[in-house]
Amino acid sequence: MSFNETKMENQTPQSFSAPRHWIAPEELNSSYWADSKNVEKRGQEFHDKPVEAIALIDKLDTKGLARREFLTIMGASMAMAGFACARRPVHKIIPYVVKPDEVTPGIANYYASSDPETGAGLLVKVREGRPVKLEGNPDHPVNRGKLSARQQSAILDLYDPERLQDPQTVDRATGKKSVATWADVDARVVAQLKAAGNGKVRVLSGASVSDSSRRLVGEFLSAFGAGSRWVEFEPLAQDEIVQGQEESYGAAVLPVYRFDSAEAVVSIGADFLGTWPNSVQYASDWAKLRKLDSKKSKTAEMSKTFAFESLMTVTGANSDYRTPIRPGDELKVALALANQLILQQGRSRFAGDGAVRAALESYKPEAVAKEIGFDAAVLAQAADALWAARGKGLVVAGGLESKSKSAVALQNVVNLLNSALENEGQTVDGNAAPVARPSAGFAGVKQLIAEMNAGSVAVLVLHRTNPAFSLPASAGFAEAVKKVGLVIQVSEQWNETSLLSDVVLPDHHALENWGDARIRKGVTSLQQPTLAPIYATRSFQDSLLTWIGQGKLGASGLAARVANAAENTWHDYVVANWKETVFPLAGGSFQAFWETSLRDGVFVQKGVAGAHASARSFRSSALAKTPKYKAESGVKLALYASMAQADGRTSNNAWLQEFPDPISTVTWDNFVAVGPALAKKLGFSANDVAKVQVGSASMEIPVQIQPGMHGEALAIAVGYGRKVAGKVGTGVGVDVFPLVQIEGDSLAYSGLSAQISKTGKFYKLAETQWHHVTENRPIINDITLAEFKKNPAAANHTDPHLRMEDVPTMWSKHEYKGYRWGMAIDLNSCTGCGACVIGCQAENNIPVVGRNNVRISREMHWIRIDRYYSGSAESPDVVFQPMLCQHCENAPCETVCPVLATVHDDEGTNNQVYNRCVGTRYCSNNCPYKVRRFNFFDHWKSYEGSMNLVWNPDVTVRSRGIMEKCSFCIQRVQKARFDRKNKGEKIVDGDIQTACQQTCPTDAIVFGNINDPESRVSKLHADARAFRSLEILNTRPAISYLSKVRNKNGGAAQHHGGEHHG
Amino acid sequence: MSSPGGSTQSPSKNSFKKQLAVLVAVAAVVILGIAGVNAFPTVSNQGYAPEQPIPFSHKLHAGQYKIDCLYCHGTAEKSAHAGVPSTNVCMNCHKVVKTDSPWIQQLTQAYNEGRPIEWVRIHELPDHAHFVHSRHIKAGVSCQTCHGPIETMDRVYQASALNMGWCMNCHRGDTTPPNVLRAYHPDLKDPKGHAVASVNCTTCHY
Amino acid sequence: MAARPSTTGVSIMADTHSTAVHQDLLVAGNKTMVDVNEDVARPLENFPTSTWWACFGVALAALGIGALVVTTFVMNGLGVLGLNQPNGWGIDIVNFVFWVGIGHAGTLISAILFLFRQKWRTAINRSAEAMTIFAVITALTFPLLHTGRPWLAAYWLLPYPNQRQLWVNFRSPLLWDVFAVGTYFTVSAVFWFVGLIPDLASIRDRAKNNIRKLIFTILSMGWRGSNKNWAHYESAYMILAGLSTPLVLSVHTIVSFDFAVAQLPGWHATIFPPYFVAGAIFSGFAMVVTLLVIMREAFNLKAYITMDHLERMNKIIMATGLMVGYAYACEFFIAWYSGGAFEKFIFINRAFGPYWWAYWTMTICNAFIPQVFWWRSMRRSIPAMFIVSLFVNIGMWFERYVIVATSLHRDFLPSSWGYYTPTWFDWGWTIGAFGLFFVLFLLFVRLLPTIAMAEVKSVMPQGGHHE
Repeated sequence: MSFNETKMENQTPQSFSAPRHWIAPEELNSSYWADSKNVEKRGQEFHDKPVEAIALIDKLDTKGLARREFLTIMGASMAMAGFACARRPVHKIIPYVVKPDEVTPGIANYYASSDPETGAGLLVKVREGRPVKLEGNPDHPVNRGKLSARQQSAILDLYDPERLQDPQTVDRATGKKSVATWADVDARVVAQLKAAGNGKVRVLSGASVSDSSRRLVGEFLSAFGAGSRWVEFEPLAQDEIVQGQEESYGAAVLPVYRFDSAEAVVSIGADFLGTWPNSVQYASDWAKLRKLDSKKSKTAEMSKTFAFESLMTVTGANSDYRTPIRPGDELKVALALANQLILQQGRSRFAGDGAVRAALESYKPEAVAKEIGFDAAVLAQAADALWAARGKGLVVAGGLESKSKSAVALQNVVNLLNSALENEGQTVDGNAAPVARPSAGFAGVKQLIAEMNAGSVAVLVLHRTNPAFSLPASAGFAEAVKKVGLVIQVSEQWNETSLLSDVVLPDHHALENWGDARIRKGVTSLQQPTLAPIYATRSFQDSLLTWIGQGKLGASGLAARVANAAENTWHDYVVANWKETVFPLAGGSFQAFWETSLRDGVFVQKGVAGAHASARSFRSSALAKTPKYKAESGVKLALYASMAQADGRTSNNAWLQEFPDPISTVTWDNFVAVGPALAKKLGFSANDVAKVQVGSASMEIPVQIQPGMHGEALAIAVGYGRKVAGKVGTGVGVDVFPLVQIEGDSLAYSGLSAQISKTGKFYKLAETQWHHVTENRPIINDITLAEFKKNPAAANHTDPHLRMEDVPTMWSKHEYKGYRWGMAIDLNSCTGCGACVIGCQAENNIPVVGRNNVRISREMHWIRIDRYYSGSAESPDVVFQPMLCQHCENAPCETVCPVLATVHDDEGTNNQVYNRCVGTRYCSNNCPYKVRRFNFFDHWKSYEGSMNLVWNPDVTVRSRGIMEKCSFCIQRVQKARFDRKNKGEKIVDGDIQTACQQTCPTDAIVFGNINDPESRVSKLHADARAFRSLEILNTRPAISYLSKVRNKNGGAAQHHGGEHHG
Repeated sequence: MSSPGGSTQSPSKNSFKKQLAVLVAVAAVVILGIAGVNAFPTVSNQGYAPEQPIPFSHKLHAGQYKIDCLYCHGTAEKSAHAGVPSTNVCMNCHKVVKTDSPWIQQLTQAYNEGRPIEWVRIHELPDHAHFVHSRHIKAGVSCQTCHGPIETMDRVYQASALNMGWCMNCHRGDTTPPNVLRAYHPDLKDPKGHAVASVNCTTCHY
Repeated sequence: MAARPSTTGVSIMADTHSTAVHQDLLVAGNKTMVDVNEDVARPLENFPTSTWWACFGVALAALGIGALVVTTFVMNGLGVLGLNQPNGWGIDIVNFVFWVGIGHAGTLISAILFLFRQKWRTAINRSAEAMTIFAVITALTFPLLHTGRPWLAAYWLLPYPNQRQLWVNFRSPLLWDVFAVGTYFTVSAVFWFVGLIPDLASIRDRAKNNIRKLIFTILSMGWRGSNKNWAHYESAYMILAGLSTPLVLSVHTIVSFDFAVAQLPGWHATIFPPYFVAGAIFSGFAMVVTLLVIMREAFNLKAYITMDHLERMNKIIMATGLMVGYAYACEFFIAWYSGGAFEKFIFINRAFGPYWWAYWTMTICNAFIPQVFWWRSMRRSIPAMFIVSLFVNIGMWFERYVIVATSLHRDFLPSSWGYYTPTWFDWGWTIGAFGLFFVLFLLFVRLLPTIAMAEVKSVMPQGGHHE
């Protein structure tokens, strides 16, 4: 890895909108980049000009920016395969005029940056000046080198050909848009800003984790007098947690939870492993206490997780005890649990507290359990487990699916529990959160809407927010905004809100922009551009500075200084701000400090980051508003954020649309999840279309029958049904934001009373998995901790006669003189989050195939997450199994290929040779794991225009008619081999990380050399829990799985048969 | 086959000869066809010597002045691509050398305008074949082994077939320069016992 | 010239020491040897009937549809077919196996029955052999065109020295297919052509029109009917018959390896070779009956293709039908007896899973319907045998559908289970195959003698009495 930051540093003033290393002077003015031909030239350094490829791509009517390197010859060789002896077309080599020092054609540079949405640390892989992959920054203390599926797929948004490319002016009456120049819009904006009266400017944006941005916006607004406010709004904001914290402890902070020391976890509608903002960190922490070593099985310890949830989430699927409840029951459960612990068992110092007693008294565990319909014993078990682990336990709640009207009350009870259990200050850290920030909840927007209606807003600046889509119509944003003089939207995409704006300004993509992020006290990360802006875009912050400067608006502080300086770019602002605020914490020379921070991507303040928390005292008064217990009935609806789409801002990202939901495996659509019991009652079968009604709002949406859901529960994902998103995202799924209810100053997404009825219509959802039980086949193992302690190998299906070593075989055994590559996957750590799926997609140039092809099972993902249910349909156990090419030693595919296109190499991997394959598909038929993927069409053509820049140059792009599959990231193996061999060394353990392993938050995947007894992978292969899928076939896979172990009482491993949901 | 009383030339004989002729012809076509597929390798441009925008002479630079290959093609040791030098490398000398030549003047002009020179590519492998220069150089393969007597070429031409069989010959140890065998693959041995380079498909195809 | 045909009769008798039993059965209605020539040559020498044109038009249209479909997916990708991830093969392979199967009867009739001196074959062997060759041609189009990159598969499947220094995978059953079917096609073609030579000569000698004379002169390779000619002819015919006999068994045995060698439950079965061969003969004979019934009506050859011939065919159909039925039962028994969980599942899934309809169509058509031939009246009733033969053809097509589709759609990992539904392109391709077959066959009946005149004469009273 070569981090290089100096070029970043010595940027010329105007060069923020031009390439860091210019090859032609005219590139320095941004208009040059508006012309896609020039951009194409730029993309082309040191690649041949692909006569073929361009022709091909033109045929597909995608404009400019054709990818150069391999497609070219791919096209050429295809052509030649057709007409032998055809003369090769003339290709050009276009070298740099002045080659930048740090660019070596063919060798990637990695730049550290960070994700402005979540503040996660990034490593951006850049080839010849073009980012091709996002990975986590291992030096970042929060995400530690790991990224979620969503975070990785941001790279595709960068190259989205439908990004806004020039400033637009919109006629709000007709919605007609027309291209404008930056000069014109700036003039217009500045004039309006000047004209705006005192206190009449508002900025509405998504929540920001950037201190520099916060400071800049603050200073910008200071120019418009008191009352000019910045409003932050996130549909998925966890404002109920913040508010609960404030009521319980006095400070409005989002606490940091320490799952890595939580031996007993109770989640009440909290999907901390799946959809929480920091799920990557929390998952890796949580998994630390789930790792097992069979050698020490006798004394094995493992955390215990309880989940009470209204829909099947990743967290629930991974918990040891999962209890289905109705949406909105979370508060009752929390109170019942508190009642059990504090009143029934008389534990904790709150036992005698009158206020507490008053609040809890009416929530008798039995009564609550009886009403909701689960066994009250589980509450007792949870209470015992928590008490046994007090100080090292954790109770969490929060998230969209538990955000009912009593969400804040729920938080207060959870806080009570954590305080009672002495977890407060241990596993709950109220101090690790950075400076208190506005909660980005509904209150601010509500007030803003009121102000707009009152006509007290002259100029409204919108940034990274889409209220026209994500607010319920009843909020009246659309009407209110009509009364605003000038609405400016700064956005990467043309979206619903653009239609309500006067001026729409194209924003930089995060990878084109500067910035910083602080999501922990003492942890500040930097965001740096990794390529020149592709289009005539300008960052939000640069726009503010430009306006301040041009308009002499008299903003206060740094903004004024920078704006009026000769160098007035956002980059200079960030540097200056760091010099003033961060640098003092470090000392030394600023230049050195800045370059180090830029190289590392993050500055960690010793002693402050991760310092031991101090307990805060719980205020019983917070429970005052707790309602008395009252039994309810009737079907309740929960809206939730899906792993793929969250609030729908990325719905034009094809990778995410085709990302199979970890639980339902549905792609390209949302649906109403209905439990088996309710489905039976209403006569629903899968793919029926239902009519769901909440209050006056109603919509038709396909039904997905979801095991493990309560008999009176419905769940629908938000973020679908975008009306203005682009070719990919528009009209995918159904928009359910209109169902959101306004409860005072907050929004209720859950516990909504709903009616559901049949429509008689039918809609086939594009699922990637059709059958959900293993039919008792030797595919996966799971056992209980007790069984594991007795015999770690308890559940291994491995027939002793089929041990890999001593089975008689008709083949002469393969010899592995040097390395032998293998993999181990710990089913006990895998949470099924699917980060590996996108990691693999980005690394291996895997195209998307679209909804209809997924419907007939033609998805191309090389690694898929198989999800099996066991036990009862009402409350099943769940196992996730990442399934990829097993690289069998006796590979059934190898014997049947007539042209030797799939062969075994002398390092134990099963190679697929694309250029030799003629596509008989015999190998796939003969593969018991069905992990081979056939190109039924030229799927790569689904990458249009600029999207072709995202291809990984080290991996061939596959044409139609050929088979492909997991290669164990052979290109990474080769790179490691070359690097070592050039130094005359051997590859050592850890040199190679496959893409899936690299990003796995829980470190469930380990790759390495089995021939080396010291390597992690060979140790895991030797573990007593290790088994191989379908070992009975004697295919001898190079991948070992480690049995799943559940920390629950009860008998033998659940059988995976069962008739439900076939 | 002749008839017992076959004094007269029977029509059958003629027609049979016709048949024979036809059969032979067909056979010939088939055999030539198969030979042809190999005789004209579809992925080889051997001998291809296109005209370049500037008639740069390797004979002069590499041959007469003995400028080291890696001076211009520096990335060959580090990277998969040997690379064509960026214009500033030419200018290192030609700021002062031979500035009167019209070609150099063209070069200088392009350089000042920041216009890259569009060279015509000669050596080109299919995209599905990954060739790594650095490995081969580190293994002791000389540039000439694949690129031919480049130091004698006024206009560069493709000296080798660059098709798969040609690669295999070297990797299997048949045409490998001896120094390479000794120096770099002590662990890999073929049945005959002399070392060879890897012939896994994924050595090049991935 | 005119005398020559009669000598044929003699020389045949000279070689095949047979006492011409039941000759009155083999050729009905007191035909003279001249009549034979007249009757058989009539379709060649007269302008085609409107019936012929009608059939030919339909066949050509079907072929056109097929061509259209093939062009579409060769240009755009196989995605237009119903294939998917678990079901890598579908109707493409179903049709391949079906047509190869059809191709069996021809060689069986011409070679094996010849070696067993079954004289009744003489009336039908010519058209049966033609059917074989056309069926194999039709079959061959499928494995080639169903590949993802046919333009490469066409020659990469052949072992030839190339600049890549690569060979084919001799372990792969698909490669064995290339050899097996290739050999079968070559030998059958030669066998058929050698058999034609004497009759081609007769046509040559009858030809009034010069072009026809030239063509048939070339085709008949200078046949003069001399004793030497006959001697060579006889030995050649005998040798070829001997050569093709094992092929009848080998071809479908090897085709069955495509499945039996794979480890997929429902494919991986040792019973496949005999089961496939029986099935092939079964379907082959059914197809022959279908065609003969039409032919003897269309070209008025009732005298040569007699009811006795057809009845014998029907007996064989019933016999092989019983074998196939036994195989079906056997598969289930073994699945249960072996105790293999995957095996058990796949067969239960066959009969009662999503593809139950295909399975029961197959069983009823192949195992039950042919039982009507226990009754002589049925064996000798043209409509009955015609309908049964059609059902058997349908049933045998579904047998292959069941084997390919149901075994693939639910294999080892339930997570990858799927379902295969043919698209209109699949059906179009299937229709095209029938089109190709019938175009070839109709051209054959129009341009070549559909009945082995020489051999028929050999079994006629007149032929018999020459000594």
